[in-house]
Amino acid sequence: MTALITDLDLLRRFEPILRFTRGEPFFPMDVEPYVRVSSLWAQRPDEPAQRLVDKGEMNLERLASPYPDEFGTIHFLKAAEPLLPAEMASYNSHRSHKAQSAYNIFHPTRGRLARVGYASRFIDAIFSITLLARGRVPGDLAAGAALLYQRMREKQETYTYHGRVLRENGWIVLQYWFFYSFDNWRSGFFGANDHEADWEMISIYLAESEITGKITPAWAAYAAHDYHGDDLRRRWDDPELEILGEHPVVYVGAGSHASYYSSGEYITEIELPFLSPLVRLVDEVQKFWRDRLRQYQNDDTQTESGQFSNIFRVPFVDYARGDGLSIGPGQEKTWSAPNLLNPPPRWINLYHGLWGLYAHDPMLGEDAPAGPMFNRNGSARRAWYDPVGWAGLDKIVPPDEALGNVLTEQTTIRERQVALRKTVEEKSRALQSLGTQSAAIRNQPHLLMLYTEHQQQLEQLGQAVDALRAQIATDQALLEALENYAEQLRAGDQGPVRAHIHRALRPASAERLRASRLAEIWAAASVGLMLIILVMLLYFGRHYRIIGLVAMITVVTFIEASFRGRLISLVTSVTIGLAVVATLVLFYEFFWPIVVTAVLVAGAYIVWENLRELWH
Amino acid sequence: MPMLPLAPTLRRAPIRLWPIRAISLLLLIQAIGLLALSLYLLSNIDWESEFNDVALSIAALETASFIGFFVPVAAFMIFAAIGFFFLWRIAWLIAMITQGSSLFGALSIYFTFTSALSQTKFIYLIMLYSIVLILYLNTNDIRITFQSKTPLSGSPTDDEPETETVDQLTTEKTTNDSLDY
Repeated sequence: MTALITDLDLLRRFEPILRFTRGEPFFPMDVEPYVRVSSLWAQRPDEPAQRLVDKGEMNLERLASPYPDEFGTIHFLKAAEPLLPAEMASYNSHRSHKAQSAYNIFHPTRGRLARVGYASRFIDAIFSITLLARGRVPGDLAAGAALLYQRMREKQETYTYHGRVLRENGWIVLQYWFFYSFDNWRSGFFGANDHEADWEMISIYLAESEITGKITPAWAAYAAHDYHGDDLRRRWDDPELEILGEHPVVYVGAGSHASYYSSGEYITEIELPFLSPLVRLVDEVQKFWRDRLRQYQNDDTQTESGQFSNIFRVPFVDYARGDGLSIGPGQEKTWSAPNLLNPPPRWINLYHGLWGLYAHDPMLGEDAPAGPMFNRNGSARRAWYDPVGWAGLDKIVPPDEALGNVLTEQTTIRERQVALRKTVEEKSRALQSLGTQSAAIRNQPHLLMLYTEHQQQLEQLGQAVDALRAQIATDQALLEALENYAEQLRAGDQGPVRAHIHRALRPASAERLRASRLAEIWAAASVGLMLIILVMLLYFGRHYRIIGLVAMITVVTFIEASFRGRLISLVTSVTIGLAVVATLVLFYEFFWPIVVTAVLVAGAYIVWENLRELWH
Repeated sequence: MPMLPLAPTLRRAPIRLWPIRAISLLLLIQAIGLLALSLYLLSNIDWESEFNDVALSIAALETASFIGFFVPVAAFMIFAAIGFFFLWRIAWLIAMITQGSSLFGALSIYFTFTSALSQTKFIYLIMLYSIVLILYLNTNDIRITFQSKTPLSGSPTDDEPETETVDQLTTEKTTNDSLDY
């Protein structure tokens, strides 16, 4: 019981503050009322979905019951129902009335299409078309889910997280799991997908002093989409991690509910599976251009995740402005008593199915997620079974143990050095002995066999001694480095705060967000306009279609580049394109002379290098 | 946005002037070459007889097109060369446009001209020269020097004894709106 209270105290002491974007309709809730209004379904291969438990009969206990079924069966919950036309009209009218409240108004700023080029817009159009073909969550279901959540909230307005405390690798890990009844990123905020039910999580890593028992926060890791590893976590003293008292602040993506450290608008690029080979190809060409040819690549082509933009990925904006409702200690709304997941309740361990509608989406984005413990395909979720490794913290020692660890390492290396020196001494003696014998029999023809054997042994032993001495030298350097590190730790210096981050997510800068309304309209209309002009050219002006096409592309491209302030990029791209064509022409016309010249140059270079060596 | 400490003013490493001067020189050489070539082609045509005929021959027309296109390009190359010498930020863009134009002209001659002009080796030389200059203009150091948004400071260094500064290059204030991780 004491352990339980301690865990709960820890969770409450460091519980986060969640800041939402205006217009967000869903907030963290307790799973129990959601399950109570849900029905449980089974989707067997090639069969219509079958209801296993009706609404009103469902509860967490029943959810944890075993539902044996054939391979390939997917179990899923279904809470919201699509609205009837009359209900939809009533809902829309109600919503527009409610929108008078400042918290319910969402204004998109510069649209995602205005931030990317034409190729990405075409790919986006393909993505939109695929939504018609593949399974997706219907729009009226999003409205139904919003209405359902609204009713539940009116009945009892609580904001709940599900807390878990575990100890791993010397760390105390506090996991805050947030359950939302719906993710309306696509239908509400122009994002990539909608799905019923949403599980999100942040972790806080605490270090406990063995001597004083004092607990101090050391790291935080926020889950955002499918990112994992070092880039996810921030050290407690990192200025990017906003902390009020002992409560970290989380900026929640509108609709997506992804967690961010800073408020802002994040571009997330999503890869369509069938375009993966093209994505890889473009990535490789860009890498060759940058790394091998040492050519410049504009920072403007980098997304907020630090990746260089790829025209075959579809860009989406995740709005995490933090200008809406704020939940947490000292905020407008506070957390109600958390649901403790220690020990994991049966519904966590035993329910492997989806927590909302199974939309039959082969790209999975529209299907509801599984619970905290599982992925959609039923495999175990790393954030659950290895929260330390999930954030790349498995190689980091808690601060209080760091110095002790360094001293232990030093002792181990010193002991190894003593053993190594002893071995080197023995082997050196053996080497000298062999050398003496070898010298003695060098001019004895009848001992040729023995001499050859000695030579082989000498070579092997010599290599072994050399490797051992190299190991001693390396260990010595390592010892010195450890000594310096120990000094640093004694001085209380934990090293650079952001050294572990390779590609940090960062919000779009104010400069990138600035765009006129005209540019927005142009971005939204240009692709469709181009297609219409193309059809008109083909139909009405066949004689001028080539000139017309070139003129259209030139005009549109220059307007686009001017709007986006990317005239330099355009000039660069066109010029490089011409250079590639000219290179091919030169290769075509002078292939053999180029080969001969290359060989001559290589020969001259080798002669020059060798002569230089002679002169020196 | 969390309150972050203001980023310390970024100071660029002092700019090495000789690679920039080299571009200036290469552009001048290219411009002089194009002007000389134009003069040479001009002198190869018997303009008196051409004007006495009813219409200009294809060779005369194509030579006139060559001169009409490449002489203005050469003029811009000289302008860009001067710009590189005085470190004007616009010089890089003009240089790139002239190289693109030069390649466009050479490729047009290669693919569309029918007179002896399309068979001359000069156009290949123009292509090769432009390709090399485009690669050079796009090297990381050169582009960062001319297009960096961080404040530029410092004076020419190492092997360059000049005391010239790069005040002409625009500087921008660094704020914590755009964090550079």
